[in-house]
Amino acid sequence: MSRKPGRETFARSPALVGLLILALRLGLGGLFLVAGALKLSDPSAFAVEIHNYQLLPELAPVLAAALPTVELALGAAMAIGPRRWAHAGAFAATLVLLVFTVAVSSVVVRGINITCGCFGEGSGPVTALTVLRDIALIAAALALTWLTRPDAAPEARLPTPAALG
Amino acid sequence: MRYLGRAMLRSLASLTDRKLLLRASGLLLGGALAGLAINAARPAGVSLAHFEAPSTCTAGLPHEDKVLEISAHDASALCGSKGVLFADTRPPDAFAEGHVAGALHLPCHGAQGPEEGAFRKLAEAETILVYGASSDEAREVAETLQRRGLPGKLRVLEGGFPAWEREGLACVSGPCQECTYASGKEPPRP
Repeated sequence: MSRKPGRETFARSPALVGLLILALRLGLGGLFLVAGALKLSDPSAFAVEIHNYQLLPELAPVLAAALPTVELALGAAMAIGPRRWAHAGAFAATLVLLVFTVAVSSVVVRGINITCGCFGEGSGPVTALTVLRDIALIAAALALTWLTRPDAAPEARLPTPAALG
Repeated sequence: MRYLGRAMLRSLASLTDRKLLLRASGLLLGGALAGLAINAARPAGVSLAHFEAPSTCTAGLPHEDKVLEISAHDASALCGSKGVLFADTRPPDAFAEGHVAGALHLPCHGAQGPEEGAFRKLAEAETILVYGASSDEAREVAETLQRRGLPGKLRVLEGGFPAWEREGLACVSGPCQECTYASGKEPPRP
């Protein structure tokens, strides 16, 4: 059976893989940094938003205090950390996003009309699109976990025009 | 498909890497502890022990439920209407010099009686028109009364008592009958 040429090209092209890793690191890492910073600016409002999920309301203040800096730590690790820390950050981000997705899905299933709180106050309501967005983020985090694993090929540096051409 | 399968297996294998688990745990735990420490240190941090979620929805209040300012002219039309109460936030000496006829003096302080009596009257009113030496002073008191759960509509007299006087509207002078001495204390919770 012959392999499809497109997939082989991607897998064996360090430039493309490097670009993808860079995009995922900056994109996902940046997203976590922004989300963490916005939540950190008003922890009381964030505590109310967590409380509104009606899952573990007694833990709302603790989560509101801890979660923003967790996101900042994961974002920094993914965006600018050494490769092994980016790998760990992506893995931890996958777990965190899984928890978020379960929480958001439960809100949608129970028909509770609340704001997401994902990016601080004024994040917009929780809908099915929020769930889909979180699933896409999980996929991105899983991809970054896989691409930055220790036995993967070393990341390419930013590709030169010759390499892309 | 075989390539994807091998990639997934390698990925799963890497998840059992002890160092990975340690680093990931370190990030999660370190971030959480840093957050709790920052929260404890900052004045605007959320209270872990005394956090109370609001029991009423304050977002998107209907227009009528917000504390609005009304002009002295519009306020005078409400004077004497059933269910309307004027509330004066100024100190007793300013109240004694002149106040809206029939106004309740809010900074009343003394024995339990005057404060409770004042709050009972406020709780019974359908519309409470708060005024002070300025709009800002009255607005602060009006918003406090709203937070304390008074059921009536709260309004603030634009321009305060000076605006009422400029319009030449009805006022009387004389001390607050229920006051014993001056105070700036907030009314008690209902």
